[in-house]
Amino acid sequence: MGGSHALISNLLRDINILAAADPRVTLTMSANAACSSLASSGAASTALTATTSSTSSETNEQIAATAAILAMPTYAIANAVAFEPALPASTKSQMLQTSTWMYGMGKATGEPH
Amino acid sequence: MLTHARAVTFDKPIWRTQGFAGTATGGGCFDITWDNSYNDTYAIAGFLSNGDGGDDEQAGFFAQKRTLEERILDNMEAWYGPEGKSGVVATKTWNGESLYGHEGHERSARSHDYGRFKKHPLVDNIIFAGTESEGEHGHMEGAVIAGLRAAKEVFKITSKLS
Repeated sequence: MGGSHALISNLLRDINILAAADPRVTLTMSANAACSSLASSGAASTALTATTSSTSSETNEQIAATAAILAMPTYAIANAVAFEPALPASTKSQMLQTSTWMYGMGKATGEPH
Repeated sequence: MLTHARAVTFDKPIWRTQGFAGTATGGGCFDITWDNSYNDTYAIAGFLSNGDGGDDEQAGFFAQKRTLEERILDNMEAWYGPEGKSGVVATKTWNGESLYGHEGHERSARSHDYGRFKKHPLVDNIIFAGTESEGEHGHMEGAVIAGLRAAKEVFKITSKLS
């Protein structure tokens, strides 16, 4: 397995181990779902609702949470996620000016023969 | 528009059977290559050298009267023997994938002014942790630092609740 894939699979292995050992952790994964909206009413135990949209099903899932971490490019956050409260217009505009790292570079892909 | 990266896929990991990791720098078409295999797809990915990629790619293409693909496979043959020719050259570019950006992005004055947006400015519990959220201008370092920062923020929020 190549370097980046080895890194991802090892991180996933460690996350699964941590999730199995901690009853507070529920691990939900989907390769096809994307977070489409995030609503926050401030800091409380279930102050945040994330709505996912999936390319493989019509049903959107809602997840209540204390906090959300968006490990996405700044541009994609501003471009693809609807926030409540909304991002201030100037913030959103500046985020959309931030280019995604390596966006202009060709990405290499390996397709099965 | 820049398109410097290429992958060459193979039926089997010919470099590994020769005792190589697949990482190489300098020489041939590539500045650097790495093993980008996943499950049963075996691939060498790499950034093309100046003259064989990016802005110079078209000029190089016509000047040498050989396709870039042919030169890449010649390169694989030079490094890994005749089996190197059996590879298939593959390319993917994010240009045109509108979720991540748009044409002309790179020319924006603040295009790579990373590290300014670390969370939603109006609430504390929506945290941004892409590599662009850190001032390490991308790379893995930015992603790792962003992940650590985000985890600390979540601990801070949950400790206030308990």
